[in-house]
Amino acid sequence: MFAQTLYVQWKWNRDFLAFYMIVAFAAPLVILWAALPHLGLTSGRELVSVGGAVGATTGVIAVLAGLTIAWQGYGVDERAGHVYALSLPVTRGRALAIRAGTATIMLALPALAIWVGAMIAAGQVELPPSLHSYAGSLATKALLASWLAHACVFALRYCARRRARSVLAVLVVAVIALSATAMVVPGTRAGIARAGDFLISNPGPFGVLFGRWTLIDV
Amino acid sequence: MSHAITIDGLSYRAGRHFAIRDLTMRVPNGSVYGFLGPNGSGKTTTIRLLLGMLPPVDGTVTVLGHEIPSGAHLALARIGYVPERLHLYPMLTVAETMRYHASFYTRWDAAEAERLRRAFDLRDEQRVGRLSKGEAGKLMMLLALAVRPELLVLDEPTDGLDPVVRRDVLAALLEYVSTHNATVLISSHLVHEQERVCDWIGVMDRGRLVAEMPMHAFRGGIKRLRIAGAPALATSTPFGILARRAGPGREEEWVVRDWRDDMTSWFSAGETALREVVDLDLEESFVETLRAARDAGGRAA
Repeated sequence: MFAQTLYVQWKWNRDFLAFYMIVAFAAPLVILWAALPHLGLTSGRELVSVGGAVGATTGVIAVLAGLTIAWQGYGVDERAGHVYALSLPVTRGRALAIRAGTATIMLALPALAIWVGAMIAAGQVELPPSLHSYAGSLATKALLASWLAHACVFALRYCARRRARSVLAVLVVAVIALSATAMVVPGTRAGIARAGDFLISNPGPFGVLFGRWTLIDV
Repeated sequence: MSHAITIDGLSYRAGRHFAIRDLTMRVPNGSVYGFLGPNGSGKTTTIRLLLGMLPPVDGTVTVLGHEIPSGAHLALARIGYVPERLHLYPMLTVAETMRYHASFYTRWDAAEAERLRRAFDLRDEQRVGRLSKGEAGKLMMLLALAVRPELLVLDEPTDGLDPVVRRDVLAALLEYVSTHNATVLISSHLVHEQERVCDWIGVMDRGRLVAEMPMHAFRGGIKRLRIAGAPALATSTPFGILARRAGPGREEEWVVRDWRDDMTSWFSAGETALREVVDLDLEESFVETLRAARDAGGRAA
């Protein structure tokens, strides 16, 4: 069941996966090769800056991969009103677990490409003793970020269209209401800022997206 | 009599204008139950409710002994389902679709699936998205039959198919039912097709089940009577009057249900004379039943 679902998802997504794997592999190499001629040999600050550019780029690639694979992969179910998925003899929980598992395996491929590309790119530069490359943690972070993006789109694609619109509308209204409240009632700003910080910093739910993305750091 | 499907007081609302209201329905074990109704009457919604795809607002549904929707996955393992439109993944080939489907069913009969694939003239490497409507219908029927179901739920399975494909699909269905004693719920608005294969009939209209009876009762019990000297008010009749219409001269036409031949004696007792008893075919019976239900609904409103 799992293997067959993985095969179906792979067949449906393979073109996009191939594209993201190539881009994820090439991005660290291209950025470093483009930057290297302009770097001072011992400029740690510049190396960290380039490592940050690599990290941010791979972060964007990972999130886009997660969004695309979810959008593409579940669109086929949505087009048929989820009739096939709902008519199969599995509990919703098990179906969800299978889809989450297959998504994890597929999203591991761009993350693996990031790791290989980042390793090769980091090998091209001679790092001062105070600096280190973090290809492994960058790839892990990319995997988590793409999985989180995938899960968000999955949740929206799999609820009824009307409910998805409601969820999005509630989120937009909440953001507008909080912003307006913060402007009108200055006393609430600290609380709202703390809540925002919790959401976008570790260990908050979206911390992995907004944390520090870098290939080279101290 | 035990029932493969039992629905009691089922209610569901979809949007502002459509609702299933207080639906009670029984599909006897081993029967071929024709689920008739005009387009938009609620047949597909009822089917989706009994398969656990939609959550009911009220009422209970039991399918093959399992409460729905909580036990839907257990019931679905014993059900072959053909929806009204192609629901399979278009990028898979026929062989891949069969492998994918088989992986969810412990009862999957690979040999039977292969036999049906050959009988239906489907090629392994054909992409589902490129199948003709007839081929897609045959593939869906293949998948439904190869899980060796105890219950087949078919939602307009032959709608839009050419006569040759329709005959192939129905032949495969009847062969399976006769050898496995399976129960079939077959929804359709093609009344003549139902007449050939069904032994029970349920008629759905505007979200309500307006008639449910054995086919012989439906076909033989609904008659058109030509009557002279009809009373203004016909009470205490031994049959149900579905409709009354003015006929030629002082005659009237009555469409009645639950008719038996010995009921002619009811007319000889008074001044009312029965001129003729006309048999209705299934389509006429269906139309008259719908008309009567709508008239009654209109009066109640």
